[in-house]
Amino acid sequence: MGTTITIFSTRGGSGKTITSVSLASTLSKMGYKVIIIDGDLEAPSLIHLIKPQKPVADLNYWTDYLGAKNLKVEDIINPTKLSNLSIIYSSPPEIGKSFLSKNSQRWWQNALRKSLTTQKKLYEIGYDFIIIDNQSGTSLNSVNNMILADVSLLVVRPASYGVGAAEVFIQEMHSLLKGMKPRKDFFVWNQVPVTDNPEEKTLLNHFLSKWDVKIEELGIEVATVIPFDHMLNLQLLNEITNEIFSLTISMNSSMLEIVDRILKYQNQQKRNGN
Amino acid sequence: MNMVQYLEDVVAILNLESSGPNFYHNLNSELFDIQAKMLYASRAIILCGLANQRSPEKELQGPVPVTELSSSPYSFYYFQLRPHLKGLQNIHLVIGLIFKTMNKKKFKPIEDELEAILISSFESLDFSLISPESADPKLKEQLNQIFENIFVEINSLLESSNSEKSIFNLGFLVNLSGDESKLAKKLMLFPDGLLLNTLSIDEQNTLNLLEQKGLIEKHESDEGIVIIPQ
Repeated sequence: MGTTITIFSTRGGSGKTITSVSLASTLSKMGYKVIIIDGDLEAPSLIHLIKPQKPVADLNYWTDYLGAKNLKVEDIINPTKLSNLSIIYSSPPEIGKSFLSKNSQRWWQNALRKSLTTQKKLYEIGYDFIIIDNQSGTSLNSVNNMILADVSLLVVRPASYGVGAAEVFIQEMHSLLKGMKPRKDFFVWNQVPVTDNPEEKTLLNHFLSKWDVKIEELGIEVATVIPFDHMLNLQLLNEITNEIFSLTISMNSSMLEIVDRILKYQNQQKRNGN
Repeated sequence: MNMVQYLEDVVAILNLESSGPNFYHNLNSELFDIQAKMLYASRAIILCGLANQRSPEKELQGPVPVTELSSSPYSFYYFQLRPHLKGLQNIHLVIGLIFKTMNKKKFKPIEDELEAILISSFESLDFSLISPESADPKLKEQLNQIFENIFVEINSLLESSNSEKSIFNLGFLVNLSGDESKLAKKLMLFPDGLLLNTLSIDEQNTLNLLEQKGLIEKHESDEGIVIIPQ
C-alpha cells in the first residue's frame, strides 16, 4: 500500500507546484515509484514545468478521466525523463474552470468515488507515492483531493494575511477530515526572505516563531523552511522554463527534510498496523 | 429516478435566430412531427420578438407556457445571446429549452445553475461564423456539441437535486450524528465495498442506521457480506 501526499495552500502563487515536483523528483531519485497528479483545475501549471513527451493534442487529462467512462487510468499516465516518475496532467485552465463552475454537486460526488478507486489502482500498478498538486482554496475539487491524502503539506509564503487565512482554512478543513483516516499534516514555509540585517532577522524570526506555535497548536507539524531562492525565481521568469529537475537541486536539503519526516511517519504507521 | 425519465424531462433544446427557428436539437421526436414543429415555430417567433436588443442578455427567462399544445402542455425557458461583433449588432440567438409543464417544480430549484451552465457553455461559441445573411455550417456543428453538453449537464443537475443523500456528499456527511458521520467517513474510503465482518459490533449497529437512510447497500459475495457506500 502506498502513500498519497496532497500539497495544498490557501491561495495561489505559494509554490505548491514547485514543491510537488521537487518532492516527487527527490522521492523518485531515492528509488521510489512516484506519480504526480495535477489536481489544480483552476491554474494547472505542471505541464509548463515538466513537458509532456508526446504532442499535447494526444494527451488525456485528469479532467477527461474523472468525467468519462471510456478512459482507463493507464490512458492518462504520462512518462517523464525519470524512469520511476510519472505524471497525470490536468486540462488547460479554461476547461478546468468550466469544470469547476458547471459540474453539479452530484458530479463531484462521483468524482470523489472515482478518485478513491483510482488511488487504489495506482497502488496496484506499483506506485509507492501519489503526489497531488492540489488547487488552492476550498472548492469541492480541492476537498476531494484532501480526502485522498495520507500526508498533507500546506505550503505558505510568510505574510501575515496569508497565514491568517491558512489558520481559518485549517480549522475548517480539519473539522471535515477529522476521523476519516490516519493522516499527518505538515506545514512548509516557502520562499522565506534571507537576510543578514539584525533588525530584519528579528522581525522574521519573531513572525515565524509566533506562527509556528499557533500552527502546531492546530495539530500541524512545521516540516521545513525553504529559503528564498534567487536563481529559482529568476528561472521562473523564462517563457520556456528549464526542466524542473535542474531547478530542484537548490531545494534538495529542504526536500530531504520533508521526505525524512514523511518516511518517519510512514514507518510509524506501519508499526501501528495502518 | 433513472436516466430514461430525465430524458423525458428535457424534451428539446433549440436555437432560434432572429429570422425565426432554424435549428433544433431533437431529444424526443414526438414534438417534431410537422404540425408540432409549426406550432413551436409560431411560439418561437413570438419569443424572438420578445428577446431583442432591449431584452436582457445572458439571463434565463421564463418558463413560458406553450399554450398551443393543449393536449400535452409544454413550457420553455429561453436565453438570449448577442454577438458583440461589428456588423452583427442586429443579430441575436435565442436558446430555448423545452420541458413538460408538469415537471416545472423540478426545474425551479436549478434555475440559477441552469443559467450558469448556459453562460459557460456559450462562451466558446464562435460568432465569427455568423454573418447578417447566413451562418456557417460549422456553427451548427458547434451548437450541436454545446447542446449535447448542456443536455448532459442538466440531467446531472436534475439527478443531484434528487440525490442529496449520499456518503460522498460532504455537506450531507458532516451533518450526520457523531457515530454515523464517523462510520460514513470510514466507508467512503472504500467505494468498491468493505466486508461487514471487518466492522466492530458498535459500528455494525450504527451501520443499520445508515442503511435505513439509504446510505449503504449490502451485497453477498464469496467472502461474505460487502457494504457498498451510496
